[in-house]
Amino acid sequence: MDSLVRPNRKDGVVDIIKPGPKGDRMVFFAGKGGVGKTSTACATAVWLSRAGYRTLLLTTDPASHLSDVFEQPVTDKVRELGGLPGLFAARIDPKRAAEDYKQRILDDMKGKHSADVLAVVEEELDAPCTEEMATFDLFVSYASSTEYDVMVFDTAPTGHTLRLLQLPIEWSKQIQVKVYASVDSQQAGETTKAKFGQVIDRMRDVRRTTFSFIMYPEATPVVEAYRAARDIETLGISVGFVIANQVLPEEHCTNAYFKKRFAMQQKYLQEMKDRFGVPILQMPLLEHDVRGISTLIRIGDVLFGQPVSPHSRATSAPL
Amino acid sequence: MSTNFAFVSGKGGVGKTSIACAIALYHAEHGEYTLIVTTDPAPNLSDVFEQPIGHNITAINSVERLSAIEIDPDITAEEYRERYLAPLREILPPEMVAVVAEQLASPCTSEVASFDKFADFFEASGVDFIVFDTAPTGHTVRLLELPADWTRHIDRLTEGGHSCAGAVANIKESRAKYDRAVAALRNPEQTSFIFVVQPEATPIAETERTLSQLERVGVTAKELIINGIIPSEQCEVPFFRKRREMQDHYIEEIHRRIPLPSKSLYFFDEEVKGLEMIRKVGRTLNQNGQLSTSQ
Repeated sequence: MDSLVRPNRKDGVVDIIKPGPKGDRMVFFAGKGGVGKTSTACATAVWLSRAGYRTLLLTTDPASHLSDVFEQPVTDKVRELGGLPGLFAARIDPKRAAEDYKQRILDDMKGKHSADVLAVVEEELDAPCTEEMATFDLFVSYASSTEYDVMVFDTAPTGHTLRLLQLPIEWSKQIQVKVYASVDSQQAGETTKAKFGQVIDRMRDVRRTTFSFIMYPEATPVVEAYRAARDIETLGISVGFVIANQVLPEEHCTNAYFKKRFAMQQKYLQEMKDRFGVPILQMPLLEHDVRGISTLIRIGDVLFGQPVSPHSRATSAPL
Repeated sequence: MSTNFAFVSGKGGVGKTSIACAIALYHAEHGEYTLIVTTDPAPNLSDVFEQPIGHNITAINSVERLSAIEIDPDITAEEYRERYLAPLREILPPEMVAVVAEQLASPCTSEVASFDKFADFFEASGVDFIVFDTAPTGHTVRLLELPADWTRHIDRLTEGGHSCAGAVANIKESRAKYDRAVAALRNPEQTSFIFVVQPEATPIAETERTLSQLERVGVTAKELIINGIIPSEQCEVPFFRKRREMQDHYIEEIHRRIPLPSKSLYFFDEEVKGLEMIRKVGRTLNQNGQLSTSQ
């Protein structure tokens, strides 16, 4: 094993990213923008496919970044990736998803409300929260698929999104309630609600779904992730494991400056352990960006150990 | 004399609070009555100034003219939410109230709630300079400026004989307060927006997006602070030298994509605690030019 690699506590984590007793699994990576969700999701999906599982990776990252990571295009159509048998990937564009969603609601409201009301609804729909909602909406359409052993998502709905979906009124109408308080609650789309209900039930089932929070081992990021995790737990969804990203590799911390910084991170790793009470995987800081399949293979090995499968003959390069 | 404001914007953990403290300390030590306001969920002003702070404005013992307050974002959001829900509870069926309540619990509404809190500070008297370690987004500003709002909404609902006159008056008052606050935000003589960004791909893209949204509402950023740079002299092993080379590549990209005056701040080997550390941050920020004061 590469000397860069700090030992990870893999016990139990491998079992909760692999398909459970029902033969399937959804894995969600949650966390703030820029903490490494996409790289980790990509590496996890690559690892799963090498372990012999038919895997679907759904990502919201910009197309240009994804083509750097995989060295091939990832589009909004599900496609098996070249060089990675059993790994399928598709990209969801959160901006476009939100635009489409917004248009659908506004078209539905036109003629029924005044220009003032439409302006407020339009602005409300411009919120980042709409992107999250519209992205989740698309996820749901994949989530009912039974074609894959594991589906890996590089983003996760927040507690807020899930609570909105559980309200008695379909969320496409909820904005009207907030803005205008006039919607017939009978309008709730029963089929849509049933579909969301199934997905939420599945997310609560730890045998079928695993939530993982990623964060830097630093004061504010740990507290922010913990708050988000507590919020999701109020919906009956539990956190399976957490990942500390950009952990300084001890063997490179040779001078006083990096030794101090290393000690500081260790303190927050301990805090993560105390707060979350679930296994922690440590993702080492890399000397470069995540780029290329060989790096993804290497990260997967660091996080989950070498996969055991007929496909695992692909060699990994040093990080 | 009117109060000047500085907002430090960037995602959690990039060093916003330390930078805000450094700016505040600089202004206080240059003769201005200064207040620092943090909304960080893990506030560390007590560590920085080595005294308890909390939800009320507290004078800093060791620095003349400096006060601080830690605003709890949960309490703020809850207070804001309650103000709007109370009148609605009397006129809407419970399931509708539940919908509005959850809508008001969104992270987007939390932003509006924080702004609501900021707006109170915009009316402050006896303070020359206020620094916030967070900033409103373009979306928040646009929402607050829309013509149709809760006022009208509640007026309409109250026509049927329900009495919410008090609530309506409150909301109308908030409206005028927001208008004054938004006007101050747009005035670069009075308000500076400072963006903190790390030299990495996703943070650069996010900063670019936030900046363009603010520009669309007429708010211009003053400067950019590139934070978390590994000092070259500490890069004794190839691993960190390569990491630094990657950072240099992104620093170049920041200059290319974000045409704002910028300053660099190095990755500290310890947590920012005590006045000496804060002065050190201030000195680093000051190397390429004075931190401006209105004096």
